[in-house]
Formats: sequence, structure tokens, C-alpha cells
Amino acid sequence: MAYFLEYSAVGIAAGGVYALIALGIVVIFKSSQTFNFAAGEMMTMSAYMFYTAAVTFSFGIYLGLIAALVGSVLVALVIERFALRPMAGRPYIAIVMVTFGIGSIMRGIMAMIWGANELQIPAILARDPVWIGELFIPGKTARAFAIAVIIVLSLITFLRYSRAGVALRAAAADQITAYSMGIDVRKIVAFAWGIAAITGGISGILMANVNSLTPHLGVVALNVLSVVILGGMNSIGGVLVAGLIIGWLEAVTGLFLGTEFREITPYILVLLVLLFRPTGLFGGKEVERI
Amino acid sequence: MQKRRNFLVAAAAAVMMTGAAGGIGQAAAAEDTINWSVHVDLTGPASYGGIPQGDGFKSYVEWKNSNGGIRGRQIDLQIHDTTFKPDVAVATYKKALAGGRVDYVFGDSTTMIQAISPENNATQKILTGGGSFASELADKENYPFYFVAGATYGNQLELLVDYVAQSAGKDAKLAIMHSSISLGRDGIEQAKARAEKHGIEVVLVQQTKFVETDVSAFALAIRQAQPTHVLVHGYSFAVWPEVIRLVRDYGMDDTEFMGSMWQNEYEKVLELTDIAEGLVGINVFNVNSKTSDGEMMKVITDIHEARDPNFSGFVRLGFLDAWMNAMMATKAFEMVIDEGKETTGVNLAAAMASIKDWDTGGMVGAPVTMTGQQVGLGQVIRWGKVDGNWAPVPVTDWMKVN
Repeated sequence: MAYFLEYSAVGIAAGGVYALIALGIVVIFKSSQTFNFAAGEMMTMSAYMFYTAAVTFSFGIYLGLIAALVGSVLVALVIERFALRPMAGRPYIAIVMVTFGIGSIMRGIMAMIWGANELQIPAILARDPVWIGELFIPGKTARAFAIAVIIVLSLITFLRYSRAGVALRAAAADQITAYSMGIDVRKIVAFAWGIAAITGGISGILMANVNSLTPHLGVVALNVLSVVILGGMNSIGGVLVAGLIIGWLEAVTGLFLGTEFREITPYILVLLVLLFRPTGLFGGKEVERI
Repeated sequence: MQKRRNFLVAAAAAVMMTGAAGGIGQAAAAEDTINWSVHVDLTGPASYGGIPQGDGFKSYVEWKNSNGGIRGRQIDLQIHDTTFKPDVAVATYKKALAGGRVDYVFGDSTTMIQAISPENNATQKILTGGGSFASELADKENYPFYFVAGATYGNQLELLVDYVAQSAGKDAKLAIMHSSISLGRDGIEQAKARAEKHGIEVVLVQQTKFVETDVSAFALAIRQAQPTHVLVHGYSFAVWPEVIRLVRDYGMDDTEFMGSMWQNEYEKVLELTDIAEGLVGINVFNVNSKTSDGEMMKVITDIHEARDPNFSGFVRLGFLDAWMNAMMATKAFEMVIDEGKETTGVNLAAAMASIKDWDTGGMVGAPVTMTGQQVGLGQVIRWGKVDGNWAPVPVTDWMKVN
């Protein structure tokens, strides 16, 4: 029983990070109905920018983090302005293909700038373990979870109560009506890309702490597809709940069935949920699947 | 009309003559040179290893050609970028074949060798080597023209289990952690069988993705199993270092972590100095050209020192892999030429398979006798500080796979 509780705790903690990674995908989808397949590359580039600022230019962790996030937002705004905005009104599949293309271009640019070397980035989280009664939670996992939950809850609050948040929700609900109400939907979409860049940037740096900084890091974004689908693609709160569920499910699957089933069980759950709720646990009914 | 006909006749003649000249040129080139086609990832996700492989071949061929080539024949080297995509790799291979006779091919991956072997098995023209140490490729029946330039992954894991048996005996408890990619799955059953043969209990086998979001649950499983040794296999730089850190956080400082060859790249270990002390690994080549005796290591040192006077002596594994493959190919060509036979795939493969007690000039620390389509030698090392610098310290002699 003790091990079950410990596996559950680390699984839920890992789920918080899943939610953080998925958040960027959902925010963009919510604002513009665009599934961003370049999310992994955006995360990876943020981590490389952090490495460059913190290590290469010796800015240290905090300035490096700020520089990386500013850089990530600029990259996201450039992508939105010059690659996605001209595609407005085009078929979804064309827009999705554009995000694939952006991912390829970013991989190429990263290879040119940083090469294929694999790097260790400075640890941004303390390692001291966190004890919950008798349960031992690894320090980085616990702190990453706390960061993820704070960011997700802050974003939910922001979207609910701020003018920009209300505008984003309005644009997500109906772009044409939002336009007619005087909301600058283009700015709202750019704003969503900026948010995605920040959450993705933090995710990328956290992931590089776990995996080291490699050109393969972007693959992590594919790990959260089940979270995005289960949560409902356009539900930010849903992403948090789905992340925690998937994280817990993977951990206890490893405990009871063996680790080789960890990659399968989240998608079995997703399949079962979609049979009864085609829009995911918390997704709106207007979601169009791609 | 007459003018047009004359033009067409002249044009046709010119085309025929050009074609004939090209044919003669190709035939002459093919007759004089030994043609090597090297297919490596220079720009894709495996370029960390592919770039030094390309460099290794280029350096070897330049050195060999400047020393008279292979029995007086120059090596014509063509290097192709596969981007680590099987379809691109096969396309570059087809392009190389379309360009004229190819005598030797180096493939970047198991997948590429699997893709090109059926045709080559039928035509029996080309000797092949590659960056893959996959167990399934050391198979004379299905891959008669492919030779592994070391011990296969399965055999590497067996040698590590042998080391566990020698150093800890039956009190050892073994955990195995591997990635879910084909490289990570390769050899796991062999390792388990070897442990059983030695009477070593395998207390945990766990599989991870190649890149994970969080690895706490894997470290927790290791804590739960309480192994004395953890065998880690099928990774590049992800997952396993953080698992080691977490296991250390759990206070399991005595648990020994061991990894197969690619996890023992010197440059990688330098990035992991917080966990490097005591890491156990396996070498299939000597990795320090300055501390290894032998003519070939001296050549490699000279090449690197010409580029960097402060060269440490540690050579990239990809470079050594390429150099070893090139040496093996050269050896086979020399044997066939010395016997006065044609350099066909069949003759080259037969020569390669017959290599016995071959001195590799320090590349490998024991004479090479080909066994089951592989060099089949490995040495277990432990990372530690020697004179203040990180170095792989041998903890066994060079061992032959069996």
C-alpha cells in the first residue's frame, strides 16, 4: 500500500508537468482552432536559448530564464505573424501542415545554431526531497508539479477575470461575433501564442533538466497528446485534470502491469472516454477533430 | 530538311560518343579504384554520432590513399547524408549504385542494412559494414555481407553481466532499464538469460521511452527492487542520468550503474561529472589513442593533434567506429587481392569471416578473430579520476563473446 501511495504521488506530480506542456497546445487551439505540431520544437528552442543565456553568456539561471522566455515569446510572435496569420480562413489541414513545416524549419535552425551536441543545462529546481508523511517525493518532481499547478491555475484565473482573458474566451467561442463586438481577434491570437511560448518555454527547460538538452527533446510534446485529447482540446481546466489522471495512470500501470504498458494505457483510457464523450472530458461541443 | 537531318545525325553521334566516353571513364575508374559508399547521418537526429563517422572515414581514406591505398589501388570515397531517415538512406544507396560500381557500403543504422540487404544478398556484390551493433545483423544466413565492428549489443550486455558475476557473485541482484526503441530492446533477453546462467537474480526489468517527461516512477521502482547493479541500455543522453541522480537521492549510493557502449562517450561523461564516479561501461574499441599502444592509434593521435595541439587523446566513438570499419574493409580487400581473386562481395565476405589473430594496431586490445559475423570483443571499464582527469579505467581484460 505504501508503494501504491508513493507511485500515485509521483505519478500525479509528473501529471502536473504533462498539463503544463499540454497547456500551450490548448491555449493556441482555443484561440484559433490551430493544433500546433511545432510545440515540441518551440519547447526545445526555449531550452537552447536558456542554455545560451545562462551558460554560454554566463547570465546565470534567473536572467537566463528571463532571456529565454522573452526570446521564446518573440519567436512565437514571429511564427504567428508571418506563418499562421496569412493562413487565416484556410482549411484546418493546411494550417496544421504549416505547423509541421514550422517544426521542421525550427529543427533545421537549431541544428545550424547549436549543432547536434547533447548538453546538460543548469538545474533550475532544488533536489531536496519533499516528504508527505512517510511518502518521499523527489524534490525536482515536487517543485515542477508546484510550478505547473500554479501556472495552470493562474492562467485559469486570468482568463476568467481579466479583460484580455474574457476577450480570448470570446474569440474562442465565436470569432466573427468577437470581431463585431470590437475585439481585435488577431491580437488575441498573438496573445495566445505568447502565453503558449511562456508555458512551453518553462516546460522545455524543465524537460531539459530531466532529459538533458538534445535535439530529440521535442518528442516529449508527443507524450502529451493523450492529455490534450482526454482533457478536451479547448479546456484549460480539463488539461490539468487530464494531466494528473494520465500521470497517475502511467505510474500505477508501471507498478501493476509493467512499464511496457505505460505507453499503451493512456490511449486505452482516451479511447474509452471518447466513446462516451467524443469531445473529451471537458471539451466544448464545437471541437473539430483533425 | 537535309540540314535538319545532318544536325540530328551529328547530335546522335555526339550523344553516343559522350556515352561511350563516360562508360570508358567509369570502367577505367572502377578498374583502378576501390569504391566505398558511406551513408551517415550528417544533419539529422543522430548526427551527433554521424558527423564523427563521416570524419572518421574521410580521415582514414586520406591517410590510406596517401600511403599508397589498398595494395596500390586508391580508395574512392563517397559520403552521403541520410538524415537518419530510412527512405533517404536507401535513396542515397540507390543513387550510389546508379553512379557506377560500388565495392563497399557503410550504413548508418540497422534499418538501412535491413532495407538494402535483400537486394545485396541476391546480387552478392557488396561488402557492408555500419554503425549498427544490432544482434540480429550478426547473422550469416540473413546478412552474409554485414560484419559488426565490435561486440553486438546483446553480447555487450552479456559481458557486463559476466562482470557482475565475477565481481559480486551470486549475491548480486540485477535490475535492467532500457528504452523502448529497437536499440533499447536489443539484447535484453540475452542479458536475462546470462544472469540466470550465472545464478544472478534479475529483480527488475523496466522499459522507458527514449525521452521521458518525468522519471521519478522509474527511480522508485529501482528503490523498491533494491538491486546491487542496474544495467542501462538503449539511450543517448536522456532519462538514465536523471534516474541515477534520483536513485542516489534515495540514498542508494552503493548501487552500481552500468551502460552499453554509446553511453560511455567521453564527451558525455564530462557533462555528467556529478554522477560519473563509478559508472561502469563497456568499450569495444580503445577510446584513448594516446594511452593505447599500437601503430594505428599513433596515426589517429597525429591526425587529431594536427587539428588541435591540446588534443586530450579521447577520440569520438563515431570516429573510431568508422575507422574500425574502414580497417576491417581494408583487411578484407587486401586478403582478396593477395589471393589474386576478384573483389566481389562473396570473396570479400569470405575473407572477412576468415580473419584470425589480426593485430588492429591498438584499436582493440586483443587480436581479432572473427566470430559469427562480428569482432566480438569487449572490455569492461569504470569511470573515475586518474591524475585529476576523468578516464575509463579497465576492470576486466578484453573478453571474447561466447
